[in-house]
Amino acid sequence: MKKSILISLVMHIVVVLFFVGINFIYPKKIEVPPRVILDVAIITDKGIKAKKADIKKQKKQKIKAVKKNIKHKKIVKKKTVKKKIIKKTKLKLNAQKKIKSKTIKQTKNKTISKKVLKDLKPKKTVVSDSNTKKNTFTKKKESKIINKVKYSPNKSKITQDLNQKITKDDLLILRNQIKQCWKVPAGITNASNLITKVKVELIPTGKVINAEIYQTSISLSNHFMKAMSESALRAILSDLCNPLKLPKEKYKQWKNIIITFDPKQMLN
Amino acid sequence: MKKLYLSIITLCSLIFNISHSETLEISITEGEVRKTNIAISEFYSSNDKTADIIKKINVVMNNNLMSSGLFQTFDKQAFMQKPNEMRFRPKFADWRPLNIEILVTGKVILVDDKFKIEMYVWDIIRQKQILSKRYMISGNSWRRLSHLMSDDIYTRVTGETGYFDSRILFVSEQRKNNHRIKKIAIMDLDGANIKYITNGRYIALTPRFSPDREHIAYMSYKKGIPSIYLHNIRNGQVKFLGKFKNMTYAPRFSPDGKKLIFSYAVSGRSNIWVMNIISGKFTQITNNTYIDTSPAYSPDGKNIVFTSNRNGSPQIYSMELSSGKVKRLTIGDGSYTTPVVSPRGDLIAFTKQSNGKFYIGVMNVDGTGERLISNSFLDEGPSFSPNGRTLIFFRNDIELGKTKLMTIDITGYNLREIKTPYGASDPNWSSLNKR
Amino acid sequence: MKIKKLFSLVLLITIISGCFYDNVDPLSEEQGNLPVPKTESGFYENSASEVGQKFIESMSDTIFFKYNSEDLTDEAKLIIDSQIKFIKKNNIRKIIIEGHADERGTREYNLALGEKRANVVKKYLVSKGVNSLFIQVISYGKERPLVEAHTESAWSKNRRGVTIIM
Repeated sequence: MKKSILISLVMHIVVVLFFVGINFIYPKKIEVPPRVILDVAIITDKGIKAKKADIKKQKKQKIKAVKKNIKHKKIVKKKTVKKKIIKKTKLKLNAQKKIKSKTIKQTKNKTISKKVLKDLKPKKTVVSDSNTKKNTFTKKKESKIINKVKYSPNKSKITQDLNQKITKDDLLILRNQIKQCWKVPAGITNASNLITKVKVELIPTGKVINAEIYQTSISLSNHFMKAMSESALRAILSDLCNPLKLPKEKYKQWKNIIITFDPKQMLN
Repeated sequence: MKKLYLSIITLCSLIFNISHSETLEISITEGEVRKTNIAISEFYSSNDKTADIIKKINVVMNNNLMSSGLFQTFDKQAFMQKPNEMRFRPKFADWRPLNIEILVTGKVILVDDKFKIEMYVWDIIRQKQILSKRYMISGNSWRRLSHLMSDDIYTRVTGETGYFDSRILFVSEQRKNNHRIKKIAIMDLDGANIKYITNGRYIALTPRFSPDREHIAYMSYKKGIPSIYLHNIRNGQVKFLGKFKNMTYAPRFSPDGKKLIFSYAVSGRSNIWVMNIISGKFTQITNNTYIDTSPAYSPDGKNIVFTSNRNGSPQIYSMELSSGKVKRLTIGDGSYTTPVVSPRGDLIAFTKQSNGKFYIGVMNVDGTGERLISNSFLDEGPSFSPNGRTLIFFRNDIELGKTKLMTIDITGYNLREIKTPYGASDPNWSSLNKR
Repeated sequence: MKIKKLFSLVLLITIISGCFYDNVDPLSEEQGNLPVPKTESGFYENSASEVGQKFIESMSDTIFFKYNSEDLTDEAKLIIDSQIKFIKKNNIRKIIIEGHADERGTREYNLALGEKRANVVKKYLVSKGVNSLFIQVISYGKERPLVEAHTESAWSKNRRGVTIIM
């Protein structure tokens, strides 16, 4: 008796934490239309490679779409925010009603999600999973799982990344901008060892509202380190770097940035 | 159960990883190393009596920072705000369009016959005050104050110790009827405040400051045979060295000021000797038939560097004083002479002759990394600034027909002339003046 | 007796300590230790003695050196030989040898080089029978060039040893 109560209590806490965590971290999970077909394909034994090519294609298409339809995205965002609220309440209700059955299914979802992740990696296959029990289970209740997989966090993450991730191009533009602003005062001795990490907080326009020294390679009591770190701060606060050139729709990805100023390559 | 725990752990780690990857990270490895743009405003005063001194201070400070090669100064004509408008705080926005990074403002208050001066240094881009200092001087110390304030700004912005509050000892060369009149002289590093130590009746050469700047040592022909003189600048007392019957020359002080190292040449052999100034005791350091001369101490006093032709042409050697062990430092083609060690103990500067040209060069204290930073028909005799960043040397300008004092950064940039009323040679840079 | 001894001891100590230092006023009109004549290629201020003048009129008082060298050329030796004859004939007891260098060297090294050159001349004189106690050497390094020009011709004339008869 006691044992089962304990188990259920632990599961209650886990579930609550789970959903609380999800709400903070994955609001976007609902923004993107779920690619159910994709995931189902991965779960089967067939055509993992083919699916990979598909994923890539879809990634590219998505990026294009994202770039073209910024406005559309904004609208979608608003919608998804609403959806998020609705889904949140729905999930909470579900949790309250069908705790036990849900928990069992949740554990199985997790194992499946795990599997999905594994399958995305080039080397691992579904078949290689040693746990035969899981395998049989997935094959049997595929249809039910499909629906559950819709709301699983891992699946959302995959699709989320394909849409909203900061790209190498974004970083290149940003880097090119900042390097024009960074003026190191002539006269700092042995400057190649003086590395500064600056933490900046930005508003959606790209303007810096807070910039502070996050870390330095040596203590700021060293006069040269102090001078170098101040040049890093000046770079961020100068006119040419305000506002910073960043894609507005990915704001949440660059709301906080840690910029490392490393002068080693600049000297000599 | 195991499955349960496993899934919980996986979940938690996932959540953790995801939350951690929230902050974007980027590395900037390119930028520009360049002179700091600095605007030095004339200080504010409500009293007209200070106007003259304020202008003079401003000129010296601008000249100092500009000549260091690390700062770009601006003409006050371009300034957006006047001194009285900034007497509490500058309007940062007004200074930004000019690309000025550092602004210096200040206040001068007349207190009886003394001047109370406050200096403020502002970071225009960060909109912050980064230095404020207060000084009290009498009217005729304004030059010294200008140098002190320049040093304070220099250090705050670059991190490096300053060097403006120091003096240059040199030989002033006047030409009269094909005769050279050589007088020992001292001046500020910008060429101001020249004072003559000897009267030029007898040739005087290669003067050196003591570390405390109270004494100078030089070589003079006054006694007929070249002899070394110790001259107390403060009370004017002069002594000459021992009873050597033959030529003593090339004197330098040890870093603790207690010893004098020099060369003694007799019967065609020139060797290095050390004298304890207080006890009068002499010790011979080298003993051979060659020319060993131009000795110089390392800043820790444990080693010396000197020139010797023991292997044919003049080269630079180092000696560990405790063991007497000698090591050859220069290996290049040509003659290497006049070695001096930087106050930072990291570099040796020297004169090199090769293919008919003279060069000023620097190298690491172990002899590696030789870099030639200047050259001309005749460049000779480098001496380091107190912060080891700048060298002074003399150059024979054959077109002008006179010798002149030049300064250059150890990187080889920023070659400048220090203007003197007559020709000048054998410069020696003092340590920083006592604060 | 004791007082006398004490007094002489004190005097002795004073004299000995005085040997280390001599107080000198740099701006005084004090003359140098060597009263010397004016010569053609030397630079002494006072007028030459009669015999010194005769010496200059009758022969060359200067020999020349190769770059960075203190060796006597054959020509130099011949000049010095005739100088030696004069010295011996006129029973000269005070000789000064000046050593000079050209401007293509640094100041201190050239002082040493000048000293070497003067000594080489002295050694030669001594080897030919002149009493070494009669000979004093002095180096001027590159401080007193004979020709103030920046050509090889000028430099070759500045690398010299000058014999001064007092």
